[in-house]
Amino acid sequence: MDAVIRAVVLYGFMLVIIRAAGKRTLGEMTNFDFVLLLIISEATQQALMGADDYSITHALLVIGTLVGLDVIVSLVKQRWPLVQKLVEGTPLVLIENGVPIQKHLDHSRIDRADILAAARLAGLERLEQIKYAVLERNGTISIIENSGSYASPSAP
Amino acid sequence: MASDDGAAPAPASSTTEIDLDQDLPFQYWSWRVQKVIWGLLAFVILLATLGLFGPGPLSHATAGGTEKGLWVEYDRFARFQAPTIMKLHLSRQPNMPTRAQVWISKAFLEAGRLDRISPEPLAVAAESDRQVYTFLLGEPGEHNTVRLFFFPEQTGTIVCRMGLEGEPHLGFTQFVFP
Repeated sequence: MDAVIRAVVLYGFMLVIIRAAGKRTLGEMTNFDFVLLLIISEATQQALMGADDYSITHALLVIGTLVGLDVIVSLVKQRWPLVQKLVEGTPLVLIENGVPIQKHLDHSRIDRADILAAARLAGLERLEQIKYAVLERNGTISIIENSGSYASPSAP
Repeated sequence: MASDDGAAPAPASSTTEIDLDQDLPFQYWSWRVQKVIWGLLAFVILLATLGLFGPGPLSHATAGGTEKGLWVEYDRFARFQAPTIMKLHLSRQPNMPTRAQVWISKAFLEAGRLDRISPEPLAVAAESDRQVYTFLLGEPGEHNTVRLFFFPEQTGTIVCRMGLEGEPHLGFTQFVFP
């Protein structure tokens, strides 16, 4: 039973804490983000597995519980769109017709340099060439050129 | 202005031009909740630094008076299966024997695992509801400290009773976080 409880509690906590950290934590991964992810995974692994239980059964229970929770959350999201908003957030326009929406940038902790980096990946040179810059649910920034053609998101 | 192919002019600039599930009221509400969670997180980290979840100023406590033959330093808060150290301070009063017998309640010992005692006792005796540990003391007036390395194996409040033979017992509680 404790394997299941640990997995449920940790899954729920990680969902809340990553969501509270903001979308940019998920999007472009810097060296610091990478190190943070490694440390979080190590801390989570110890709490999930507990002490002195290296049995296959325990590992299978934890994995099964986590996958099961993921399926449940995806089904709930599909059924109730509000849950999807709560869990994943919503897209957010950061730039409209070359004009930054400063409030959205500040709250999302994104600066002009981040937008321009995303724009360069889309083959653009200046902010004025951007019709829309959208912060997607997964933390990436999508750039739509002023010509109206779609430019792919800034992260793979 | 009409485009070259004679199509209708583009509408005025607006985010409604883009097909997007943006929900600004929800987004603004999320940001407020986010700030609250950040505040709570900072508060919890501060409390943790001060010892709410383990050793630290908030957690450190003593039981018994320093003038008695036995007084104990312990942590009010511990974590499941994480080590917590209790320090037993033994004073040999004048005309007292060189050996002290400290008893610890079985209920407490069964709530976890006593991994190590330093220095090791001369003898250990099991009784119906407690275990008795015999330690060698130094000269009268000399300070003797025994460290118990205890790993709680149940969560919630655990009660410890211990004492010296012939003296009133000490009682204290620890709260063990999961």
